[in-house]
Amino acid sequence: MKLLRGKDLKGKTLDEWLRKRRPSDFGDLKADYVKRYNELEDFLKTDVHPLVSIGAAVKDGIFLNDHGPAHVATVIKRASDLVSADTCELTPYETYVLLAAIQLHDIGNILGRTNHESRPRDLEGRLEGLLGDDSAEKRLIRGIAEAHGGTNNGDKDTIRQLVEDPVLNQKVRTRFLAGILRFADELADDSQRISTFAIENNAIPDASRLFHKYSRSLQSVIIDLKGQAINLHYDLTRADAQEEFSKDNAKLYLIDEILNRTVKMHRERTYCIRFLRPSIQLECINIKINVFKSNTSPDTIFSIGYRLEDKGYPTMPEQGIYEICPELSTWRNGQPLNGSRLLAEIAETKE
Amino acid sequence: MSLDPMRLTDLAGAIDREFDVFICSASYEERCKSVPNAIADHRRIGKRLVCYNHKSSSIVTGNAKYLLGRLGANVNGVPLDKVTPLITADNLQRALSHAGGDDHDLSYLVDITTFTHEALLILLRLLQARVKRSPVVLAYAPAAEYSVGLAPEQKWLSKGIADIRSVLGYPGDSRPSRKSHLIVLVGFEGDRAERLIDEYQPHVISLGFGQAGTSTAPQHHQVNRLAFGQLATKVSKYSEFEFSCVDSAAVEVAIATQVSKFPECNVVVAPMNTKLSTVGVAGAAFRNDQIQLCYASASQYNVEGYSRPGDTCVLTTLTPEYWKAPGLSRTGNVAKPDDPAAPGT
Amino acid sequence: MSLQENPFSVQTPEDIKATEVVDLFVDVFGDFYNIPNQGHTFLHGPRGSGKSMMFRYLEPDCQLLSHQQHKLHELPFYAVYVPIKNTDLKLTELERLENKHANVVLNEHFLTVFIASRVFASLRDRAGIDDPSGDHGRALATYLTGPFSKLLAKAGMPKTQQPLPSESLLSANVQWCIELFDELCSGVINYLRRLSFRRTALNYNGPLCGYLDFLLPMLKELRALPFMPNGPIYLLLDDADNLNETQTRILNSWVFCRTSSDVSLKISTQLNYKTYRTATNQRIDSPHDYTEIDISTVYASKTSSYSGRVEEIVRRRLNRHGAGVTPKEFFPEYAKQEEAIRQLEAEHIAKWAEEGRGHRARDDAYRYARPDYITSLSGAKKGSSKYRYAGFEQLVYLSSGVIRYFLEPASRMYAEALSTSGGKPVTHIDSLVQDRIIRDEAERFMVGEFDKLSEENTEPRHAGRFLQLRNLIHALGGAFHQILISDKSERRVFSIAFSDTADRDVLDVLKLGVQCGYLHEASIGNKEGTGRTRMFVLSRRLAPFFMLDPTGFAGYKFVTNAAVKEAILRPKAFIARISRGELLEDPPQLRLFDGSASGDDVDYNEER
Repeated sequence: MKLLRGKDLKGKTLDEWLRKRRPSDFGDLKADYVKRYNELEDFLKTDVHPLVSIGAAVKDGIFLNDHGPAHVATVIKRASDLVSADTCELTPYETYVLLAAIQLHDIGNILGRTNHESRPRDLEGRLEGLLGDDSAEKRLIRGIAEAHGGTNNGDKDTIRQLVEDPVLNQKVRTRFLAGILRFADELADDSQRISTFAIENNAIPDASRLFHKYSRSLQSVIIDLKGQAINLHYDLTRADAQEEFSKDNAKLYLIDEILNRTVKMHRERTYCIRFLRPSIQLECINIKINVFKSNTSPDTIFSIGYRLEDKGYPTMPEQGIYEICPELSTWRNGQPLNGSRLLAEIAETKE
Repeated sequence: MSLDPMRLTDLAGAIDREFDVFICSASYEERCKSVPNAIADHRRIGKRLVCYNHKSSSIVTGNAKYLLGRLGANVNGVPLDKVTPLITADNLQRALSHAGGDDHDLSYLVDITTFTHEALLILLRLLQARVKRSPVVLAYAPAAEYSVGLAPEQKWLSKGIADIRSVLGYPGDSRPSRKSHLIVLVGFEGDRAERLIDEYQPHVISLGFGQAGTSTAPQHHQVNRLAFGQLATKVSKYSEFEFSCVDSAAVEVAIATQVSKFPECNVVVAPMNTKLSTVGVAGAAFRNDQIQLCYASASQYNVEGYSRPGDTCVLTTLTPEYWKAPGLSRTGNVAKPDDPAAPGT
Repeated sequence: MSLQENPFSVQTPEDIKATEVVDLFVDVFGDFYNIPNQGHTFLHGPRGSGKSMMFRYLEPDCQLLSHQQHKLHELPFYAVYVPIKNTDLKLTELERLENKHANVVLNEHFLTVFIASRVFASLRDRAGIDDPSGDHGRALATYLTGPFSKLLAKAGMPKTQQPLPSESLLSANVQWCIELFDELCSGVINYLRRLSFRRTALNYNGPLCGYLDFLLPMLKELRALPFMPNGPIYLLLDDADNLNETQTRILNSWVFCRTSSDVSLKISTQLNYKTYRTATNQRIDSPHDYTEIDISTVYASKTSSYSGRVEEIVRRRLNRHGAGVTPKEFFPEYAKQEEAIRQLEAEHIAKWAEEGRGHRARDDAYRYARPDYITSLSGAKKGSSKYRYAGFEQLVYLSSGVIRYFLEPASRMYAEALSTSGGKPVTHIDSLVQDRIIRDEAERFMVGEFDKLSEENTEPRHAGRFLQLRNLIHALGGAFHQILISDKSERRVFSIAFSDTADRDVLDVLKLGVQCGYLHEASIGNKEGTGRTRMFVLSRRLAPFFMLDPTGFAGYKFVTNAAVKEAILRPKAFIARISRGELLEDPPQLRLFDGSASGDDVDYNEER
């Protein structure tokens, strides 16, 4: 079986690599996975992805930035960049599973934005048949797709809940693949997702403007595997900086959103890297923000840079141990565990 | 089909046709050599397979070596595993494939004497997928005495139960909402049967007792009766039935009748009597998918005094009807493993 | 109950009617308070210790009767009994999936649909729901065609393939659900059947139901139906040792989820639970993930009420039988023997002032009288009197904390007494009969499991663990007898505690002993007083075999790992050394427990 070695990708994307595989590259597996992937992609590109944003708009009244074929292609590109690490290898089957999951991960938006992550399994019809006829394999792909966000039984740690279970004699690193998808999706929120025309012509509802402006400002996302870093570059104009936006009944500026989103990206990096190590190492995110006078002016008013990384000694949670272990705060009879409570309980049980 | 015992010395002469494959099992019992010794030089027997438990006592490996030497050039060893039935099944499959059983309708002569019940059941299931029209003849060499030298009430063959598991290939069709029906074909080992009943705690217990006159030797009937009697005192409620210790077709009927008395139950059958009766149990399970077979491996076996070989053997031919699966008309329609044409794959 | 029926027969609780259960059940939840409370609980105990009976009592039909409630929804919880028989779920074919294909996912689906079928079977057989107006039936039908149908679709059974309930009759729809889940189970088994002799993976194209995505939402929605109690649903999984390792890990994953406010898992085991790791390799731990009860430990502790429980159980059984006598009257002591022992007690009391060892005269009487009596009979000629294990109190001690080991011999005693009673009602069991049957039980327990070969003729070093265990039990039993007939200050000894660390080999043998019921494990303060150490207690069921005094408090001795190894390898030599006073050490503060002792020492059935 010919493995995908990250260093051999050399700028190609995962799907380009997959399409060159032959059935014999998949070992004992009988299905033609390249053909299956192509059919899946064609169907989604034609029948589903173009409608995802429309579905969200109809259902929730929001104007999503692009969740269509271009976004999927960006996620695949980001995933390919992540996998290009020298120490990273994927089997052909894992490559198929990852790509299929990427294709599926946002289609739940067609039924509305909220909880869209867990919706792939709600979608029936032709999609079912395109994923093959083995239930466990379909569940595997959906599970990876669904773990890209949201919660599972109220728990945000969706990747950890995935079980590593071989499928059709293939060992699949389920959490590793889910980590790649999740972080690649996080990195795919750049300026290619937006409709510049819609922004310039104020066609975006107020509630959605900020997300589009944010995407427009993110000029580049570079995955520097040698430096173990992600480099983000934002450009905004004076006018962008001055504009106030509505979000969750609050008013804020674009720079606030950039700061929030880069922190979110930092948290996602911290979370996903647990499942990506040792094959993929990413230790920090470097952010550079240039503020220009205008779109046509080369003059920079400010150049802001910062780095998000795990540093310093971990701080004590505000609530102490009760924050980390909430069950201790209601140990017995709703009372927290501490010295005097333990003494009181011992006294009550003594004969 | 002849159930009358013949002298071992007459066995070679009684085999009047060719057999493509001879299969036997080495054991700690000297009996494992009885039939192979009798037919080793027979010219009309083709490939020879000697099965043996590879993680067993030195007596077993010694007997296996003996049989491999005795049975001539066209012989192969087939290691079985008494702890991991999948290994037993895979190795038996490989051996049967290697002998040509996948592609050709071979005839088989099987010495079932010292197979474990579990290994025998697995072998029969594998043969069911291969046998078409050619005959399968079973040879069985009864013991002159079990638990050598001990009085009937003291005889023991094994102690304790190490593991209880369903037999590979006979999963049954258990419905969680139904009650359970355990059918035990009681042999010498009343203790083991008692432990099995204790473990299962079934809703219905059926205890089968070997019919008088059908034991492979009269003295065995007395011991069997004793074991049955001791077991019966410990089980508060049970349904009793009789079965033949030697006629597998009759055993099949007895099992089917007993199953039909409690139609709304999940059925588990534990064959703990003779190997010939176990062949009948397999037949009943072939015809009724709902029957699960179970095997209780012992913690310890009376290795040194298990049995004393007799000087007779029984030959029985399995008819094509024996191999029929439920809803199918002929043998050979059961899917072979890895068969892409098999239903459902 | 007719006079011919045996009042002590041991039945499978699953088959006992609710009225009989409520009649016979003695409330033990004072000792095991976590069981009827919300929260995941593990309940460990040997077969016959009462686990299944507790579970049966929690089922709604028994709860309605015992709390004299009429409506199901008035109950504080709804308990579903899920017995796991040995080969129900642990099919050999499942091993084909390991490291090959969907092992966790398929095992979870199998477990889920198995339990789901039991849930609806419980509604059919145990809930007794009245529905004269048809409202409940309609509520269930609405649920089945709505949220339940969506759950099935998500599991991979599209609506077009779903059989639909066609009526709003409650019983019909419940039956429909049972058949649906039975079919889903059957689907798994049919898939496994095709897998039996395959070496490569086989596609599975049926639905897949898991705990979080199917069973839990289904149970939550069932709870919300108008006829169901507001409280949580309890899944009572009986004999979870009968799950394979993957299924065990899956169940642990469910425990890890902490969903107990909706669904609490009550899991019983026979001390053979395969692992506490989840499917994702995390460990579940007590007490934050679950609470844990070991029945043997509870009933061996100082605060035990086991004796009282047994008395109440026997009293109820005798009442049901119409016997009209108390348990102590039904199982009388051997009067001559007890009189002789009382005399010895009086002698000890009389000479305590000059020769006494205990703090009080009564202590010496209690400690030495019965051992002295047994010693006086040692070496007696065949045919002369020997110690009789008879009397209700002794029988309770001999049952070693497991109710079955009282009831089974009692059942045999009754059967024998009935057979010789000439048709008259049995009002008591003669002490001779009690003694004979108890000794026979001990002999079968000891000898029946082990090889009859003498240990001198085997190579114990190379023998299997069973032979090693046999040697160890013989060694301990023999040693304790030597101590009993010695002149040591503490002569009633049933336990050993380690003064150093037991190695892997020794622990394996001891744990096998625990699994087989010959020993039970506890902990005790170590010799140095700096912590705790392992202690192993010989089952009192073996007392008659080794001529030990099973009654009252029994002490323990400290022993090294090397000494236990010697016991395993050379039991006779071990016993000989014990009789010379070697190998065993007394605990640092040896004193008799008179109910006022404190500290770490363990007391057994000390109530007098």
